[in-house]
Amino acid sequence: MTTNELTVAGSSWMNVPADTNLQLDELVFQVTSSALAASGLARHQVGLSVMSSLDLYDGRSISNALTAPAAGGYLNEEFRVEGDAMAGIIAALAALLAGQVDSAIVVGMHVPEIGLSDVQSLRRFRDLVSSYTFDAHCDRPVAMTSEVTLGMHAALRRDQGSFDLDEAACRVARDIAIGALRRGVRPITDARAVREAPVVVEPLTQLMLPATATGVGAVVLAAGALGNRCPNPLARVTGWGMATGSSSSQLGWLDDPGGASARAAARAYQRAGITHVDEEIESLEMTDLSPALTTELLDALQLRSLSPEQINQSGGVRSNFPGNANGLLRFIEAAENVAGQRSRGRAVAHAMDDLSGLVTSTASVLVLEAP
Amino acid sequence: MKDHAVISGVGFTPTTSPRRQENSKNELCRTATDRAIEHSGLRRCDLDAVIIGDIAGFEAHSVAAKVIAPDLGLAPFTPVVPISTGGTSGGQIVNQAVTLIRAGVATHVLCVAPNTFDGPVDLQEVINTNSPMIMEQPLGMGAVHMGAFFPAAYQERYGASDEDFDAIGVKNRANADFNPYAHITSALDFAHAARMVSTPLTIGLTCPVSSGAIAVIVSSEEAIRAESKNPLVRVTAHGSISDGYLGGTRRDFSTFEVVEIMARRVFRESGILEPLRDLDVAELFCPYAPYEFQLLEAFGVCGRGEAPELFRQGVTSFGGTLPVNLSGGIQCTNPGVAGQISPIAHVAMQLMGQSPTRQVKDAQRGLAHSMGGTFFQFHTAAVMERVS
Repeated sequence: MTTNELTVAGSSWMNVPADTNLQLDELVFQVTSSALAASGLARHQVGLSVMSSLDLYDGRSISNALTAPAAGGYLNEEFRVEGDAMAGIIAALAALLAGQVDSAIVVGMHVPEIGLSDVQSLRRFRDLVSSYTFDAHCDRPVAMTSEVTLGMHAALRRDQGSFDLDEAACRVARDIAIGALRRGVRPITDARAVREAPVVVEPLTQLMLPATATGVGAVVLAAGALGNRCPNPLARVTGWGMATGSSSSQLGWLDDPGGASARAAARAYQRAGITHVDEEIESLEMTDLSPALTTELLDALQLRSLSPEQINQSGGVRSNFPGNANGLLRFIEAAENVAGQRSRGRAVAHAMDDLSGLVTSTASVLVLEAP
Repeated sequence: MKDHAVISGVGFTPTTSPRRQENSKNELCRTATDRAIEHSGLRRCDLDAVIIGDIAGFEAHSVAAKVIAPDLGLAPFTPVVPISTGGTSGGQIVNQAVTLIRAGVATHVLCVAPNTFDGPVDLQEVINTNSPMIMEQPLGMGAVHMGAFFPAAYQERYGASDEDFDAIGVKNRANADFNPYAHITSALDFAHAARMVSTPLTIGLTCPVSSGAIAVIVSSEEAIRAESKNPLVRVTAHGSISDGYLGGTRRDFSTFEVVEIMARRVFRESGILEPLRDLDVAELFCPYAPYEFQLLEAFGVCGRGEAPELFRQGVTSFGGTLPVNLSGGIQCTNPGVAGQISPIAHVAMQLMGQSPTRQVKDAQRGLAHSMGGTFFQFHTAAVMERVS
């Protein structure tokens, strides 16, 4: 049905350089304007603005008060999802499908206002915020953070014999090299350097963990005929699903960290009418927060049959991981894949929020097709 | 399947001061959830999604939903969506639940509105961090000072007296006497109530810091019709709006212009032509009592400057044409996100004929509003109607 067609009408992404002179709301305004220009829509045609950000990163309480007007929310419908931006995209799609608005803009931002922009400072701050996301009584006292959960999982898989550090180092080096030619923030490196990088959480080295980055992005979504009239559509969204994993009081997050992704994917494929996943999907942008997760997530997404060239053509999260905005970047990369820049078939975009690592992580899956 | 969205269950906890609260945030949210589920007649496994609101910068956790959700007893892999929009989080979580139902992507959605203010030692200092950094913060302006701009401008333009404002405060505290979930009632000492906070706002006109939680379940009308023991209350329209960040964009502090814009949208969607005639009950988010005048005018209940006279005629009191804030409103009970959802919860209960406060006879249609942010930048509204 035409009225149910959901089009990615335009997008914009900016890796925020360390020496930027722009304030957060100015950055948001810039990507919002660029995405609108790409979509061919004017701001007054956008009925809803959805933001994704965190107060602690933005350096003020109710930080969406600063960014909402810049994100197209002035005198408009708006709200903020406090988590990965892909959840914001799904919320916007629901508003389009419900017929409440004809077009929506989703803005994701991750520009920590800490006055320091080197990778180590950003990593330390991310760790601190992650600590504050964990339960104060049981988890925080034992120093649980996102990176700790990733290390515990990788160590378990290594001990079980299903995670080989040398093989992982080769994959990571490949991802970083691919990303360096696109939006990646890490320079080209080799497997040896990955293996010999400082260990952050045993057994994961710094280069095996997501590439801490700052970035701002926006996508414009449109429904039905309005989407069809947009001059340069990137893709159509045909399916989506979301699920939240288990807490630290259960073992699921460690035993089956792909569980939520599997549920989200099953819902997305059902909505998209996909019955033979391995035959109908041609590319994947995934959020494998550590190389020890990759195989499990591919199984969860039913995409183990994809070749390495079909997975994370952007370089993935070890090439560029802009925190909360990661889901938006993965979505843009997947949309560009089906827009014909790199492949012509269906693509899957997958995100897991990293706020508390594998614990209570919300997985989102979107299916995109050529427009 | 796309469907109309109805409020199928509401759960309240009692409220008190954070310093006297004996339950944790998770316990309060669990209790409110249990009560909402019991009220709806649903089972936990019926819930397709959970939306939890917070005001991240005010709380002891980043993304409170991450810590609250595991204690709600949800089915494995139930999607949890955290929404944080400051003073409108509570209104927004129901709005987004309605959207999911209308889109046909969920059948039953649980909305959890926690107590927000139990963490900070000095809440006012934390709240003040959301005022603009360029002018307001260096000048020492906090939330109450910004809040006082509006009634001061109203007095200046329309000549409303301090006595007009005090009367609203007294009316709402008297309403709260009948609300078992209210925090401040008419037991508030008059001398204490008269203490000035920021001209013209006195303590009696200013919301307290409360602790309590509320949960609301939003369902597909068709899915719940057969099994619901409650009258169906459909959300016929909802909306939100953002003003500019800086106070200068308000143009005129004697009115909430953005509410006028939002009201036209939601009334258009719900078919309301004459709010005073077409609405039977309203709960308006008024952290400062005089806002009730300004919001009534912004929602088109009367003309600008006319609300005090409308109030003196008893139109907005219990037994009047349009009773407003029969719960006592936020002026009497403000537990943060739970306070923001309370207008929806109380209006829904009125329309079900089950109000824990004084029941408006044969109430068919109601309005719920929430607001927040710097200089009250954000607003939400929902119009509900009894359909069975």
